[in-house]
Amino acid sequence: MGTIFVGDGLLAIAFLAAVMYLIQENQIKRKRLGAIYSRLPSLATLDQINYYAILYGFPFLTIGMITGSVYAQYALGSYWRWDPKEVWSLISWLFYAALLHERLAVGWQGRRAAVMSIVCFLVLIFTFIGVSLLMGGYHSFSSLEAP
Amino acid sequence: MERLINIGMTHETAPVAIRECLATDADNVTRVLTYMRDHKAINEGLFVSTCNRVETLFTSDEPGEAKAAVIAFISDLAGMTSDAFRTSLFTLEGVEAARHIFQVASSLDSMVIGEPQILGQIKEAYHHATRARTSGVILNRLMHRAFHVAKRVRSETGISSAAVSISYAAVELAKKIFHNLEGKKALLIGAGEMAELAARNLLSNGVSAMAVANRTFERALRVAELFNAKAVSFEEIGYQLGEVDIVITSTAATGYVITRSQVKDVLRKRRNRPLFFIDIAVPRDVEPVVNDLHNVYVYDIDDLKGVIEVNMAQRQEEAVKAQRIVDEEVVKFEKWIKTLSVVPTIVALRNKAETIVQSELKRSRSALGNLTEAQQMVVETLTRSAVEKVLNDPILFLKGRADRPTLNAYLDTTKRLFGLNSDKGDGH
Repeated sequence: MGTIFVGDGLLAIAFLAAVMYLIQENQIKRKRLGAIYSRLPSLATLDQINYYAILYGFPFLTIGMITGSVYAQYALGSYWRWDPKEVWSLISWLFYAALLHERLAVGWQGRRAAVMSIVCFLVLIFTFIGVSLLMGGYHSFSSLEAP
Repeated sequence: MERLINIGMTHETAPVAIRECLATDADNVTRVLTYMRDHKAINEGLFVSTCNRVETLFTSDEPGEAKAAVIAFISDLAGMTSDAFRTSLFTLEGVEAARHIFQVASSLDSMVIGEPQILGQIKEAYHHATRARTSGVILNRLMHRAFHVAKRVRSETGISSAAVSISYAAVELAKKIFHNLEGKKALLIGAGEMAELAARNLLSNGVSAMAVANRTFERALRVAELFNAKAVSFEEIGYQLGEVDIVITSTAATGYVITRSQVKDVLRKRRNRPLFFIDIAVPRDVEPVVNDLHNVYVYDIDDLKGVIEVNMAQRQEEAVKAQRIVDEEVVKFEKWIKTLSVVPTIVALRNKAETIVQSELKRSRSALGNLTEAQQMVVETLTRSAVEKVLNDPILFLKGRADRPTLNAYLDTTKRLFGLNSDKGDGH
């Protein structure tokens, strides 16, 4: 669990940097150089924060998922049971993998990378909270709720 | 009593035609300082001469005479009559003179508020004065306080933080996009003073390579030589757009030199690397819709002027804060100046006590017989500390009254009580 939280934390930082990037980019593009513009860091800085947060956050996410499935083998007898939480975890992992690949291999940066990392984070948040609330499955901990 | 006087002219009080009469000759500084040193009525002196101001700062016990002498000498240097000169001069005395020099040093009195050069010029003027040995107790203190004020204003207010020239505004914007200009490449299209200034600023901020393009290749070569840059032909611009990070355009062309399709073509090759256009030309060189492309930013001359206007207004706001700092420091300096008037009396008092101690020790030496060196020391220390303890309260009292209007009465009383004015002050 711990590694997942560290990973999610780093990816949340990446998300915030991406939001700030889009705001700052918009300010510069529309030539609104006011208080927001002067308080936010430069585009290059925000892009770097986003990049490194994902670069370090992604391995934590990966390790977290692997340990989770190893634990499942111990506790439940199988690595993978196509539970909604597991499926969505895989989807968000694939999203981040795609983003990282684009950044490293294709040289994505700036605006596109920012938009993509926001989309990725929304998927991740849905996995983290939405799936438990809406879809059930053995990850939803509904048994913990008051009868 | 010694007074601090400031006579001068600035861009606000005098037209350039008069200011330039004095600014042309570099030896004028030494001339004025030598004159001030040799003049009986002037105790200390300082002379500041920049393209926007000519100022003298001096102390004198006979202000009237000193002022007339300084004005006469300077108008003589400028080759004008005193009367013609006087109308463009301002005269400040005492606290106001101190306030003025604080404002000047912290660039509140400059044509462009917050510009950093003036502090260096004032320091230079002070160095001249120390070398000519025309600065003394008061000016030394005043100038060091002025430097201190300038430093405080610089660090505690944002008075010089935002750019107020086109070229600096462009560099600042570039830094908001690229953060660090080190290793970035720039392309200069066309020529012109402002474009070259912007290019120079980019280079001094870390831009590592520059290319210069011009309709006529010879011209490009000539400009490229100025910056140690590479000259490229006009046809190569398309290729260069794929390579560089910052483009400055400043051509006399009536149509667009950079079109949307041209930039769009290189976007793929650029792989989302940001591209920043600084378009200084009128009419514009870069098609405005280029700004709509992703990762491409176009600023034309009006945009940059807009930035400057905002920054100017910001500086004005910061100037109010700076003024408060100046006022604070003026009050401190005023206090110090006032303690100066107590100093002669205190010194006289101490001298008198010391003379008494010396003569009494001499007189008692025979009666004390043969003392060891240590014993002799003890006797001396004993006498001195007794005397000092008696004098301590009167001295503290005088220092405490230094900024009260009743000070003179107290000084007078002290002198009488201790007989400080009599020549036979060594007592009985």
